Amino acid sequence: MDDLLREFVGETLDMMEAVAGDLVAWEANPADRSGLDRIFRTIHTVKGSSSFFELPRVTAIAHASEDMLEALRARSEAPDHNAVKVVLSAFDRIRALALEIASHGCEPAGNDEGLIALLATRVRSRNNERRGNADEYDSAPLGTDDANVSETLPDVPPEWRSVRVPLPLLDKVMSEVSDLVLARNEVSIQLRSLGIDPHDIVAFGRMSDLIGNVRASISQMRMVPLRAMFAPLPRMVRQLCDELSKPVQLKTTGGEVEIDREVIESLRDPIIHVLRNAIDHGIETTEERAAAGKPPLSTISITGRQVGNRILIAIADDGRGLAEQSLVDRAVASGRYTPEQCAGFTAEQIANLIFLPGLSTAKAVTGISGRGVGMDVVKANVEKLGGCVTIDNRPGAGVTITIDVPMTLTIISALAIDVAGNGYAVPRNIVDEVVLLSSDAVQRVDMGGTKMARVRGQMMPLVALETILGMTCANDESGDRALILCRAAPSRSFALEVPDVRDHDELVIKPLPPMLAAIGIFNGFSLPDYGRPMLVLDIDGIASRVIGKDEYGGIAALVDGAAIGGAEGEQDDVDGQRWLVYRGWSGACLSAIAMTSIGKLIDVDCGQLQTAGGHIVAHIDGQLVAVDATAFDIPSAGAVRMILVHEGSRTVLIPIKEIVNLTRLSMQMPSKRTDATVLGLAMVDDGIVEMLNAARLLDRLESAADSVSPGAGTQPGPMRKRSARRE
Amino acid sequence: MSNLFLIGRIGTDWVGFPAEQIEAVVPLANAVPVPHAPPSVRGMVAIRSRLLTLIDTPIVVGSGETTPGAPMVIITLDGHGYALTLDAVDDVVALAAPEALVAPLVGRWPELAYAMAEHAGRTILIVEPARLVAAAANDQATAA
Repeated sequence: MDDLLREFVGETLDMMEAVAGDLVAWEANPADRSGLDRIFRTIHTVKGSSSFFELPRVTAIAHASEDMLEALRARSEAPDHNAVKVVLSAFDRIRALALEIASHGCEPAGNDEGLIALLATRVRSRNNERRGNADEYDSAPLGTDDANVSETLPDVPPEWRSVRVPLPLLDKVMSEVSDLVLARNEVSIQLRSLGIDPHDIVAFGRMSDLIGNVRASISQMRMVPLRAMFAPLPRMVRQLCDELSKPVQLKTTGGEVEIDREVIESLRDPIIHVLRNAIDHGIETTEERAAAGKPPLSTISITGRQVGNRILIAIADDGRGLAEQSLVDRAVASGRYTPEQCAGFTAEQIANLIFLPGLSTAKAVTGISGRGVGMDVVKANVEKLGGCVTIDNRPGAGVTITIDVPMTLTIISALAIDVAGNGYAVPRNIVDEVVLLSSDAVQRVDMGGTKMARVRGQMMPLVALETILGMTCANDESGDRALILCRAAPSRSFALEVPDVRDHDELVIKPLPPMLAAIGIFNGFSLPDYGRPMLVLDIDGIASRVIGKDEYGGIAALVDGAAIGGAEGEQDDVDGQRWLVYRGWSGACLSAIAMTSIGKLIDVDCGQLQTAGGHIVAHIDGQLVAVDATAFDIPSAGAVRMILVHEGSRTVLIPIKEIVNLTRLSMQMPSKRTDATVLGLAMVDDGIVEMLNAARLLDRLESAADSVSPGAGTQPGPMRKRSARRE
Repeated sequence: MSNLFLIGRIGTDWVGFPAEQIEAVVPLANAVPVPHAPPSVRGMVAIRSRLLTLIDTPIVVGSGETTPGAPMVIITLDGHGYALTLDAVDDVVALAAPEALVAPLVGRWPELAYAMAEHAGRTILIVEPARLVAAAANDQATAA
């Protein structure tokens, strides 16, 4: 049956009981009319709702009761006993009908003419002329009209009994049950100290099971189906469609997926916001849709599904998608990124720009959306719940926004880790994998002072939990240490090295007091069953320490590398670009330079090279070009293979041992080096590659080129780009 | 406000906590340390299956660590439970008229005490537990 109808039935049953009490109270004390307003309000509500649900019998009775109550109220003296009886029978009839609706989903056939006539009689007999008698009111209405109805009255089907319970009370019960678990554990310990094995006591085992069941039932009480959140959306969409003259059909699926009441309440606003955005900006006008060859009726679908203990809610529209150029323009206009940085962004990164604070791509601010308080707030609210928002932009074809939140806030499934005798918990939902450090799949790499782990080809920063906790590692070489691969946010994975994973536990999380939350690496504590407090690690907080702060979902991580070196720093293309991978002159490490920065590959004879003022320069076609002298000495004979790198109008030659590959690289981790010549690191078959920032490299060598090639730019040579700046 | 105060000793000083704020007095429990916590925060304790932050009050006022076996008082601030250690607990007494502080206090005391009173020949500093907790949290800045 319809949820709304279900709610109507539940409310009607509650309300009828309450107003019957009010009516009786008024009869008992006619001077006190405080309950009267409530009676009227209630009857009026029932009348309105029932007519909305097309329940003519209920509507008719409610209407007649309202009239009669009106008549009773108009009189100054006490309501007469019989009149009250009639109204009460009317209330009972409504209740009885509601119960029928509950079990059959519709109003039973039958007529209430007798009852309505009685009610009407009372209205007509305003002057207190007695007609009929009390018995008539009492028995006739229920008896003659529809005897079946009254029979169902005493048996209320259990599913229709609902009680509204304040959430704090539920929380209290939950925490009391947790206490009960602890008390049981204590009993168990005391039994053992008396030399009794608790397992020998059957009743104790039964009690333990029961406590477990109660705990599960209470968690269940907090859960509500997503349908509860979906229910008001169709109306909202309909209203918006009317305002904007865009026909939209809303499809919701996964309404049966259950989620914590508290989570759903915090999700309502973000989802409504996304939906409004989709209708206002995403969906084209009818004409535009026709021009794009799309059906006039657009579709927005909201899909809820459960994955483990997380809930994914995807809101997909078939509109025009996000305008990439306008996102970039706004990001640049807001001063957060330079056009050069944006030029290097992938489609995904551009779509993620929508989460920047104060960014709105709407050309005009409408009453519905486009004020720029938007997606950043959505993202912040979802993240507050321990979730994340991802966006999939299909220009011209629509946008899908996926909100990923934990199913419940109060209980998390976690890995328990012991360090120095104390327990720490890592929330299970951010753990990708747990591997033993001794496993073949894992390689530890120490690169430029940064510890990293390579797990099946994926590089990630590595940090020992002891280091984060400010302790020394007990035994670094011990083989059974484990790596927990944590996924803080997309592209922000890291490996947490821990002594051992002791256990897997369902934990009730309690918030930390401000002074402990301020430490920044814990986000709660918990009292597990064995009774010793445990700290819950804040993986995002730790990620910020390990990788660096990330505010805009993965973009900042790579931009930061450049931003450290200089605020106006040019940003090279990073992902999805072709890179030339080479082994440097020293032969030690692999480096890569984006193909867009490479002029050509040349063999320079050692006769063309000379040292001048501490720098090495090459004579090429009558020009002097600076050579990257890092770990390079002019050999006595032969030729040196070099890459000509240009950036803007500047040029440099980099001596190399060999070309390794020409490939697409995806950066595994952004650089921590402050000079930012290295953008980040990537993996190829032969090992780790330093992805170089050509612009920064040239900055470093610039003075060398300038000091030894005065006037180098005065004669344009065959090479298109050379050290031709600062004439 | 009731005029009942819990009288206890921190180091050599006698203090009074408003009794209505004290939920219980329990024996000192072993705390699970919290790495990087302020120096006066000993860690977390579970008392009657409630998680509390244990604050070593003598460290806050600078009189060394709490005597082993000392009692602690339990309070709740903004929904968070705290256990504050005392070197000794004397009694709950009615203090007729706590007076404003007459002499300037030294050390951390000006942050903590807001009045004083006489009881059984002793001078009692009236301490607001919330200020004690705030002072312990502020140690963080000093520690960092």
